[in-house]
Amino acid sequence: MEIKSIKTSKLENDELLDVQKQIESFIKFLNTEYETVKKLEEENS
Amino acid sequence: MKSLVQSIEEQISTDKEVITVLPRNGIKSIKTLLETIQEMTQKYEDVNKKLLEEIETRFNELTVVEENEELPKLEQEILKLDCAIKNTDTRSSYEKMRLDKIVYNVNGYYKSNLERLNKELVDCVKQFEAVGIRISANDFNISEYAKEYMTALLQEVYNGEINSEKIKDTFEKVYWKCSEVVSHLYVNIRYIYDKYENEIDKFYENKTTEILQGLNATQEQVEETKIALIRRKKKIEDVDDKIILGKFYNGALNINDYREENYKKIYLELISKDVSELSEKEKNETDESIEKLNDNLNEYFKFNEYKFLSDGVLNIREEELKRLEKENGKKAKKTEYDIIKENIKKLTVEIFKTNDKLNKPAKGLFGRKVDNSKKNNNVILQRNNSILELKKLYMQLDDEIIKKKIMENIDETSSILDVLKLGSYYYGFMAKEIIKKNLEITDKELGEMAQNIRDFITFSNFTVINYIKISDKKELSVIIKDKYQLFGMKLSKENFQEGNLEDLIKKVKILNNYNNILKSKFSINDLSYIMTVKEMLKK
Repeated sequence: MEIKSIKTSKLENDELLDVQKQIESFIKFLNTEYETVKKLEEENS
Repeated sequence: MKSLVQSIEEQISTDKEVITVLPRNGIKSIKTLLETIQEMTQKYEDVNKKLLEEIETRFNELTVVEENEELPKLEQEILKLDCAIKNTDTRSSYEKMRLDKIVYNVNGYYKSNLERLNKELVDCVKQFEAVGIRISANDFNISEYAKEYMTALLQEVYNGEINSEKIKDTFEKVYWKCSEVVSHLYVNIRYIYDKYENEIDKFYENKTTEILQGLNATQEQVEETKIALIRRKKKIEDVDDKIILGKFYNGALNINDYREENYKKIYLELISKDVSELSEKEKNETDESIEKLNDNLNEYFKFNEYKFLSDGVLNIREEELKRLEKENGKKAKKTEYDIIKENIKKLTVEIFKTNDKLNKPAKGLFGRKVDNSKKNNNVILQRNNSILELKKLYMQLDDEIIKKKIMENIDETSSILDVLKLGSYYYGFMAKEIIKKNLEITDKELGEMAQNIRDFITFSNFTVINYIKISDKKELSVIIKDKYQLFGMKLSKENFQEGNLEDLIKKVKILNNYNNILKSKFSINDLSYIMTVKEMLKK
């Protein structure tokens, strides 16, 4: 399943909150990774 | 089949893996990685947005609660009946006009607060007007000081300036002439009431007939209807969606108390039975007992707060009974009340005779004016002392009135509620008892407490203290405990001890509220969802 096509209406209330929490946390991870790799890019250039 | 949540978790895990394993050596691979992270972030942000929208939509749908249309109507009807009861009950016209409260405030607490003193004085004039007695500054003629102040006050009130500089200046001027002016005003109000007492009594007599005829009921029937409406209102409020939600919103209820496991735990603790093993009939019966216990405990707790007032009434009764026993049941020709009433009458006549003399211009031989100011000053001084003496008599009269009312209305068959009610009818007595209990209380707190006591009596659906007689020697807590033990509840004397009682009340309240929530449109999960989202969205 592609995450973009997620059917939010199919989720129960608690599942909806749980998934949103996981996604939010993953976005935070991605932002941190982006910062780290960006620094690496600066160091290499 | 995999659940939707599992698939999402797997997708996140895979994407995380991709980011972690992608090479980060060399500028080219770093650039590729940065692009991948950006694309992925965008993708997840889009999903997050979608999820948040869905969360908010569901929150909004769940929190749509209709106002119960019956509640404001019931509220209005209860107030209407209460007003009818207050106009027709056994209190004297003096209490019905709220003069007990007004004179208490004029005499005591508001000496230091001119603004409040003025409000009380204006309210007093309005109260007389409401019973058909139009009074003016000329009626405040116990002394020239009372009259001077009331002339300025009523004039300014007429101009809509209740706290004008003119009033303040007049008060200061009068105060320096006679620092007891507030006592003069107090005595004057009492004198005006005495003067018109018969007319006012007639007014209430007629009003009582008119109200009861209009309602086509007796006083007792009106009271019963009011109680039935209070009960109905409570039943609706207990399961009302808007009220339940509001209690969670304002923090009166905490969602963590309402988890199923907590409910089961408390149930087991109180009933010694696993709630899931109860038959439907057993569960319904137990829940009914829980509801009653909840009401009884709340009433018991609240009553304990105000018990000092009924104790005050019962102490006076005890003393009076002892006194009567000492007198060997001989009935004195004149009671203390009669004697004080007579003395008030005599002293009042004396004061007004003096006032008449003071108001007449003194004439000397052949009608020539004579300077009598020194002589007059002495007369005024004496008259002022008489006014203070009269004030003392009125205050003694209040003590005698409460004794008289207690002996006339309270006997061994009276309920605790009858006693509490009687204590609350007399504002001065109630205020004294409140101060005895808390010497540090401020006038504002005293006013609030007096109002709370009266509201408790007026708007409660009593199920305990209205039944228990003062002759009952058992403690109230034991009576409640014994009753519910018969219904299988594990209650002990310790539960009712200070420090433990609040815990018991809290637990019973949780069980009762939980049952009520299930009767509303919400499930516990709904409320849990709402509270989580509310915090998330900071709504």
